[in-house]
Amino acid sequence: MSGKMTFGRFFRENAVIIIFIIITLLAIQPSGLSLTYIVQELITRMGRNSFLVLALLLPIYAGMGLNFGMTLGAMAAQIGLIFAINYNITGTNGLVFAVLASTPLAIFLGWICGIVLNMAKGREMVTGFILAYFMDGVYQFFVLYLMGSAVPVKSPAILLSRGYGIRNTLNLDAVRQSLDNLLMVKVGPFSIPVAAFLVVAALCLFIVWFKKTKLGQDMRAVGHDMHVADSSGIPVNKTRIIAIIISTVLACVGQVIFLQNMGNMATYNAHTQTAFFAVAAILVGGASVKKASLANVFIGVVLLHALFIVTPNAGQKVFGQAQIGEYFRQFVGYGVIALSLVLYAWRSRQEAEHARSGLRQNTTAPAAEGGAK
Amino acid sequence: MNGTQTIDPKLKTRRLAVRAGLLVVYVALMCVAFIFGKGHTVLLDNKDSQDGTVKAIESMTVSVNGGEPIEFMGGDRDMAKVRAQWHTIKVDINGQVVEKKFTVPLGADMVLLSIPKLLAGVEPAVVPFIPADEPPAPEEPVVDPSTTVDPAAAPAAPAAP
Repeated sequence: MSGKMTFGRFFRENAVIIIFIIITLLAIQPSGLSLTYIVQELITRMGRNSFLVLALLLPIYAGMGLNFGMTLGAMAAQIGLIFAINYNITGTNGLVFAVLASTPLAIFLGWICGIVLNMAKGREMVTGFILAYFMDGVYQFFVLYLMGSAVPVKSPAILLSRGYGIRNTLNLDAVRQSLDNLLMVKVGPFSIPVAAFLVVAALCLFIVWFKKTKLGQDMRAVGHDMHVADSSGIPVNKTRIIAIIISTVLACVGQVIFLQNMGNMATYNAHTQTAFFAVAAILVGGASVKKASLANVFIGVVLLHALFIVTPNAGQKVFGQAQIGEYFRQFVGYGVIALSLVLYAWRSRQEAEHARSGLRQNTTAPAAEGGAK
Repeated sequence: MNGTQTIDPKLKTRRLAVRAGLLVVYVALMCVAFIFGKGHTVLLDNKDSQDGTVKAIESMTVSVNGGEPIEFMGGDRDMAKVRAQWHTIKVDINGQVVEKKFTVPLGADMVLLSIPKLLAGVEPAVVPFIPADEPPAPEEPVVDPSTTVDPAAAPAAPAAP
């Protein structure tokens, strides 16, 4: 009985991971892809995506849920990259320039996001999601109308022929894989972008260190219980804003790393799915709205991308259409977010129910005792 | 703690100085990235000068910044992509190797380097080059502001995760 309960609890707590592992394992065989290819792709995608997913951790620690507002950081990164390409700044210098140029904008956007989320306490995720849509309009206005007219952009390679506005797709050849190729180590059949992994490792160390600082502890206290934190003198709103600012800046750097690996940029929609895939990855890794760790990030990136690698081919082999696999990718992404949130809500309700029943027992017990006396 | 606490003026000044210093370092880093990362196209020119005082070199191989040697005949022109402003060019004329340094102006995206002039020490060997009739690069359908076409709906590069 007790063994059955343990298994049930284990499954409930790791349902998303288990479902993902099963689907991925089932899809590997029909995909026909070699293990070497899958592992190489996973290595590349870990270097490309981990930073973005790590950017989600601090808002979770601060109790703000999954930061869908990280899209704002991605927009800032893209503006920085547009400037780097406009000035033809190449290689890692181009990346550094893009990050430095976009960081003030990311801080500003993060600050705005933080203020808005403070006004919508308890509904941060949906607010962040809608805020990202709103800022997408502002971004499009800036990039489509102001760049080249009010904001000086001269390069004909990126300007629309009418003289203002940026082209739909930008070629990032100047910075393409410059971080990855900075220190590419060949181990057997695998190429490992060590520089990208070092950057990710540095961020992991930063997060571990940050959690131990006064601000990090404040964040966790705020995440645990805002009212208690406020009563103990922690500036709750300020702490939450700082968490979102750091997350937005990290998302900005993450998007630069992501795009340099891709080598091109869909100017008007590259940022739209940044938060979506990052959130899906961390949820697949076993994180919840309230709880996440570094391990969740890496497990999630590996599992989600393993599925993304194998499903298009599996779809083609099984259904005769690669497009099915692509649809499956989207379906799985949204599905996993929905499943995680539903499981989280269900678990929260169960815990609340459990706590209530505990309270009922506590309140009835003394009376019963008193009655006995 | 309650917001009315006064800060020691010395501490305030020191904080301000540190912040100003950080800002300076930030801007300096951007400048360094800009200067050392700025890409330029160098057109390597082996033609007679316009006034006829410097003649083209009949045959030579040229290597920019230790890159792959390019073979030149008289009247040839080729191209090299470089980063930053300061560069070295190695010219091999029938086994006789000459190494010269040249600087590309920061603002110039494309410059014309006359190798015969550089070797002869005639200035200016490097001049900014502006293509006369640059054909417009092919582009995707332009989003007309008068229409309601959404740029996001236009075909774009796949945003692979």
